[in-house]
Amino acid sequence: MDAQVRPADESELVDAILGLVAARTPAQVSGAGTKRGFGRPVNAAVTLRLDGLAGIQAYAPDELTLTCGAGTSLATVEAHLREHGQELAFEPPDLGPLYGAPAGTATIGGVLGCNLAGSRRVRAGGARDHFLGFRAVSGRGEAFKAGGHVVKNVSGYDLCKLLAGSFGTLAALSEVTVKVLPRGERTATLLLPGRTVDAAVRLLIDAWQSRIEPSGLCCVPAELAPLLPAGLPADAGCVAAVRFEGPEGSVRDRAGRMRDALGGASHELGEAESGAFWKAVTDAAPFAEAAAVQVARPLWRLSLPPASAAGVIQRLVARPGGSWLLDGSMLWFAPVGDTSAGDLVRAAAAGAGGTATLLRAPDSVRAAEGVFPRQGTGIERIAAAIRSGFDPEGVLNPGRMAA
Amino acid sequence: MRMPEPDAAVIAARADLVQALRAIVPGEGVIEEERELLAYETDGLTAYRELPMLVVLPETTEQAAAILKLCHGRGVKIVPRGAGTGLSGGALPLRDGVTLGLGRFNRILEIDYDNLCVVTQPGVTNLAITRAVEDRGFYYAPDPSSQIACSIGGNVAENSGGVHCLKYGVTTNNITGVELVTMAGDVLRIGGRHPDPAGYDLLGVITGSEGLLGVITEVTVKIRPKPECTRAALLGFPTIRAGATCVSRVISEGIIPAGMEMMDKFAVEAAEAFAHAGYPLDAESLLIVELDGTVSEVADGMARVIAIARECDATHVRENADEAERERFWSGRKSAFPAMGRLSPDYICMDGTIPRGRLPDVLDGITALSKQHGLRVANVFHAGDGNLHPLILYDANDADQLARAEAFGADILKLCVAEGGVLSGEHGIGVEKRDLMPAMFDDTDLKHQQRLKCAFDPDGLLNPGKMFPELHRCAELGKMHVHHGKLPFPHLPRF
Repeated sequence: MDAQVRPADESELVDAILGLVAARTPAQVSGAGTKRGFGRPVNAAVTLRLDGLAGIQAYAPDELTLTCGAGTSLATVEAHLREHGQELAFEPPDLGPLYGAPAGTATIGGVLGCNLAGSRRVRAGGARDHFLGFRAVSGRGEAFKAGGHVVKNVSGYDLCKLLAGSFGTLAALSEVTVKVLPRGERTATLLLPGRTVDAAVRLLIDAWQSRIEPSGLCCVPAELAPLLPAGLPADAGCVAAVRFEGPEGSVRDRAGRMRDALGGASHELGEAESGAFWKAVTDAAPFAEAAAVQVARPLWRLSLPPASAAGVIQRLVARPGGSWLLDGSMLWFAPVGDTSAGDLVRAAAAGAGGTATLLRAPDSVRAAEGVFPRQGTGIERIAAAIRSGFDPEGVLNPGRMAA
Repeated sequence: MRMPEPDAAVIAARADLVQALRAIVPGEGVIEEERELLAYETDGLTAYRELPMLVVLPETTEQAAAILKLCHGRGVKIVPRGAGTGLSGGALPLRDGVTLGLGRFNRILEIDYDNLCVVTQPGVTNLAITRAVEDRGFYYAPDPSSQIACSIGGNVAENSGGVHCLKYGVTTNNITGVELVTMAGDVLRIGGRHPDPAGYDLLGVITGSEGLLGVITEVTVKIRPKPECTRAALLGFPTIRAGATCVSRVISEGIIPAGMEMMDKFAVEAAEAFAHAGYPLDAESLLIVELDGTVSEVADGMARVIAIARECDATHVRENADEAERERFWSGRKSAFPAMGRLSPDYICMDGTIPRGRLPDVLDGITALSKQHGLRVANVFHAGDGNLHPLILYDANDADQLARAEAFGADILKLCVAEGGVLSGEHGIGVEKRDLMPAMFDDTDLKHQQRLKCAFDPDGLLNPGKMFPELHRCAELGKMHVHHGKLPFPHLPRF
């Protein structure tokens, strides 16, 4: 039996979770359910869907804040912001297609619950950095709130950080307040082809350290050439891509200075091409192709000290081999074949001082290997204590983060 | 100020504790003489004082861990202390507690330009980090006014802000890792030089936890390339409302200034008399708007800011001609606090944040409260993010004035919360706003916060008496008041 509960407001959510507790029945907590494959598989007969808790509740563009139901679709939030020339600066990715879910259906609560940010992470920070306040119902069936509706607040513990990336294991979000920012008027992207991995990463670091304020830094290997617009030489090697956003004059100025400094060949993407390119990078689109076939193919996301990326890529390409895409500090890696190559990938990440997350794999693999990096017994003991404080009966997404 | 009841048994065993601590930190690292302990009796919130039972100054993480383990075993409370500049009393000592000072953790461990980070010990000052990297054109962005003295570990504990945080964020947005020692003496390394450590974001909850979750012994901070160009404008307005409108319009038009500060007429007069910054004395509100970025972007942005200011009836518009003039603009704002010191024997600085659009009404409210409590107030704000710093002037030698100042401050913060804001924007709760927490959070909210505390420090030995008006016992917080087999809500669906 696969029961589904879809509360329409916070009091129904309280009742639903109290019901789970009373019946000692765990639930899969989900927004629109696009990223169910992210995390360890949850063994639960009930799905608690939060996409009924939807709707923009407060939006004041000049306060730089927006409050909405946690189940509001990301598309709705973004469309609303766009009307006022604003955006979610952390550039939330749409990872649903990686798991075979339709594009454009993810919820804001899901993005925050998974703490997902896109290419602009290098400049604007992660989802957690833009999460200002919430209302939620914990696994105790109690509605509570934290944070606030203003951009600057140190009143009490920062529980927004705790819930960002908690994958619904502590509380079900009912309402969220996020920081919003003006959209850059213009976008331009410089593509710098024909580089070795080493040279491409060096170029990205140089750009990051410079005063030209890039808002996207990515490195595309030759085999992902379909990501790029036609016209680049086929044997281009790695292509480094650097994005600039802001007022028109400033974008032209900064892109021009970078081009001049490099001297070599470059290709500039205009507004529309830029938009499509960075959306594909942010969403890891190359790894979502033919989703029906590939949805079981293991895919890793590594978070790395930025300068270590070239070494990690070379190490992974040598063994186990596979395809990759570097987006700032984040490296996507799909090993060849059907194996997760977990030992090799985790060792490569750890060797560089970073971490590796098994973003996608068959249920059996995720259940057996785990998904998130181990953090040592001291931290894991505290994490377990936090979880049992918020969800003592283990009714919310049990096992999703840790066995 | 009501603090936890001192534990007589702990105080009685003081001599024995001194001996055990000396075995961990030899020499002058354990302070027991009263005249030396006096240096630690208060922090930046000088209205409250208490002599600590002991002070211990470890030099290494191993020593800190051993101290915590020892005190944990003996049930001795610990109060962590950085540079002691905090404004909410987070480092206020306990009569039966050991103040653990991190001042000897004063070295920068590594500067890693390629990964845009600095690994540092917590006792290093905020400004020293920028000083260490500025010759290569980098800086650490959060800049609390006390940056010359405050320590980076204290910044993490308080999640400190500064004038540039609208654009660059506060401490939590600018660090990627910490080493933390728990009350039980476990050393945890959280995060590193990469973003988004996996698992629960413990780095995020430790930042701003006011020394209640652990003792920070190392911090990895992000550094940024210094902007190519920085320019500031001084804008005077005939009313508070006109200045507030200008702030909102600048942001609505897509400009995020590096800093946007506002002062009311009283604050302007005091600052001008003190610093001779060239402030217009006829303005009811004064704005400093600073933009940074590339030369062309700043020039375009500044032209737009000035056009907006004129549309908002600015009576005084002055762009800085050179770097010296920009510094002069800031000198007045930065000396607003000492300037108050000339007008009044004492002042307290409040720290609420409000939705910016509520600014004129909240200021009217503060003016009314000023009359009601019979005390003067000067207002300075981080206008860009709605963070108010009303400075209440009083004389601490007059007990009635102190009581009125505290009541006035509490009323201001309640007003902030009532207008949709929060108790503290950047100074923290500490002891100062502890008893106001129920104005913002209900019992269920506070219990959920304390469950986080219980996961780190189940015995409640770390910095008790701060942040929460009432510390529930962790065993009590862990209970679920639902009895299995007996459904409290029989009408609910069963699965």
